[in-house]
Amino acid sequence: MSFVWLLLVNGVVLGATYALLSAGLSLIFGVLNVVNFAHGALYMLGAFAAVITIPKFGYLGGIIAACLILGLVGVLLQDGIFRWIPPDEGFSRSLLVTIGLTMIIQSGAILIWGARTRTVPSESSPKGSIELLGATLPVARGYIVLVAAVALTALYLILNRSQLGRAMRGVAQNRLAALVVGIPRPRVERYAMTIGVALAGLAGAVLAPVYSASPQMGIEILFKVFAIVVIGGLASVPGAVVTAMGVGVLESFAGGYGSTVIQNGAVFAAMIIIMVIRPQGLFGRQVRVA
Amino acid sequence: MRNKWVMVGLSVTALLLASCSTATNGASTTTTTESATGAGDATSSETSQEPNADASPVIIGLTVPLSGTAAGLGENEKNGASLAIDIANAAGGVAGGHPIELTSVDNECNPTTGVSSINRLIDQDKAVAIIGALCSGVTLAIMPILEESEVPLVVGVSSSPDIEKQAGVGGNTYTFRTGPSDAALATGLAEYLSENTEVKRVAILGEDGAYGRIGSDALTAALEPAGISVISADFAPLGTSDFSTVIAKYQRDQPDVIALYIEGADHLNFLKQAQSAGLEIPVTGRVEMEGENLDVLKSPGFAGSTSVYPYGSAIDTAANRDFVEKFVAKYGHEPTNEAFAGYQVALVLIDALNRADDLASSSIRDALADTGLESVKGGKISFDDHNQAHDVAFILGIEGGEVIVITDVNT
Repeated sequence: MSFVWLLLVNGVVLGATYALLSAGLSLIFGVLNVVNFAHGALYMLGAFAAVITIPKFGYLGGIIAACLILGLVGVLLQDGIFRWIPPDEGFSRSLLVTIGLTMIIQSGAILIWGARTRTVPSESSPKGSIELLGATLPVARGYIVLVAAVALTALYLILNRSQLGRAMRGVAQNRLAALVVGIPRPRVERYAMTIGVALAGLAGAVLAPVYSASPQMGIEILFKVFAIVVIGGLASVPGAVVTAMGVGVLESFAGGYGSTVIQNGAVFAAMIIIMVIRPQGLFGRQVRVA
Repeated sequence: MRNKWVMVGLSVTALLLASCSTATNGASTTTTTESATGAGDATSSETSQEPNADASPVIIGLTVPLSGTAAGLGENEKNGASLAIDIANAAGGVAGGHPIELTSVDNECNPTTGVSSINRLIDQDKAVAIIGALCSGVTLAIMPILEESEVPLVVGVSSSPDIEKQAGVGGNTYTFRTGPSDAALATGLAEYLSENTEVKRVAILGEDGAYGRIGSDALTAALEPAGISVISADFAPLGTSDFSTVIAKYQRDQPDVIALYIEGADHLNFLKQAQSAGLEIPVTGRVEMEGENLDVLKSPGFAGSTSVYPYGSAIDTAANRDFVEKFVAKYGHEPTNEAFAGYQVALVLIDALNRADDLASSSIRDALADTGLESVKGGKISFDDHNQAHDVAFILGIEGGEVIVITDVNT
């Protein structure tokens, strides 16, 4: 089995995880102008939800249930907090609000579940492995790619082929003009927040059988996802997805041929270089959202 | 143009936060205080005697990570110490009936936060002695402050050899350690591997911090004279979730054994991913053979795994059986190494408080130096010139799905 091929497969799996998270983050920023630092904490909630739902409803049912629960959390966050933030001040206020939310969600998780790690019982997790041209891929990791492909395709279709998607893009491009032409901004924003948070929950849920769930699991990954969104071009969902895959592969090769420490450094080094060469990000010139 | 500045601002924010994420984990310091008189169910079998209601409580401070990736370990050390203090309080307190209060402060496994936690415990809570700090980097950071404040520190878990070097004669006379150093454990492991196994090529996976780096250095130094080569040493930042890349390297290099110096959630994540990737290489080093790790380690791919460890709940002494029974009754699961360390350190402190001339910190320090207590594990706890105890440690293995003690290790 080729080591290069194995690193490539691992990189794609890693990239699929990042893509689910960064697409949601990018969508929320594009439509609501909210910089969601709570995205990592919501990802963690998705993992904890899956630890509870997968043993009850099976793998697929559990992931869908976790995704729906987090979608509901998204509705509550939007109606309870974000809709009350004045649109013009969304960026600055959301920074503090979402950092505060992160603290609350993490502390709440420690209060409810304790600081110890939780795992999906092995009897409820997908078993076996897939042979991909000599690379052995555990089924649970294969599902990450499959679920990401389905979810991101659905997101693409919603954004590009539906009335809701057109409305989201309209709000993202010009809030005032969207209001003038009769787009119901609060409803569109609620949908965007719901989808964005559900995607974070889906990422956590699909990874729960592979990793373990702990209240702190969202911190480390959040900053990489922010770097991906910045590299891809803020509010560009396709940019975030493509960049996520690239970053996954970059990390895999940096770790494979360098060291584990270099993996993280490589992502942020890439971000700095791209910010210098192309401050708007790789896909920043595209129309915002889709 | 506005978007450009937004993106530059976000980049800087992401970089700043990322640079401190592994250290702080974004958690704030929290404080909890154990009830001085609230003996738990576990103490019901003890001879119950109310502490003197008029006697002022003796405050023992505990600084451990209660948030971040090491939070589970800190919680266990806190639970172990709480159990010992509950038992002491139920038996009438210490030093003529003073109840003990345990005040816990989160150090986030971060040296800066650790220093703040100590300032709080000394200045605000007036702790007469400190237990902690679990993470070696934090312990090394707080040692000079405690020496300056003349408050004794008793270390149970932190295993950096530097703690021993800096403590005792010619150095910090206020720091005592009951747990073994990484150097002592590594020497014991190297001897075991060279004399009892065919291991010739070792890959080391450590966390990118004091624990992983110092552990790796100690093991490398101990293995080389034994004719065992270290073919790679990888260090993963604290909080790493994905180990697929390093597992791919092990699949390519096929070391005889992988030595682990990672802990908590990272430890479990590595084992789970190695198992699902079909990696069939035994692990050794400081393998946490407890909790959910044990379920994974029972799989055939990890056959032949060993661990050099200060504690295992299977240790067959009356004191340990009693501890395990009480711990399970109170917390619902078997004690981990950290829980044991918290329990044993608290016992050492309680013993010193009972023998001290008075409750001044310097008197407690002097009493600690004269400790001669039977260990829960069957050894003896007394401190050498560097205030280091040399309690027994163990090479643990797995047989029939259960953790077994393969042999003792002198520390």
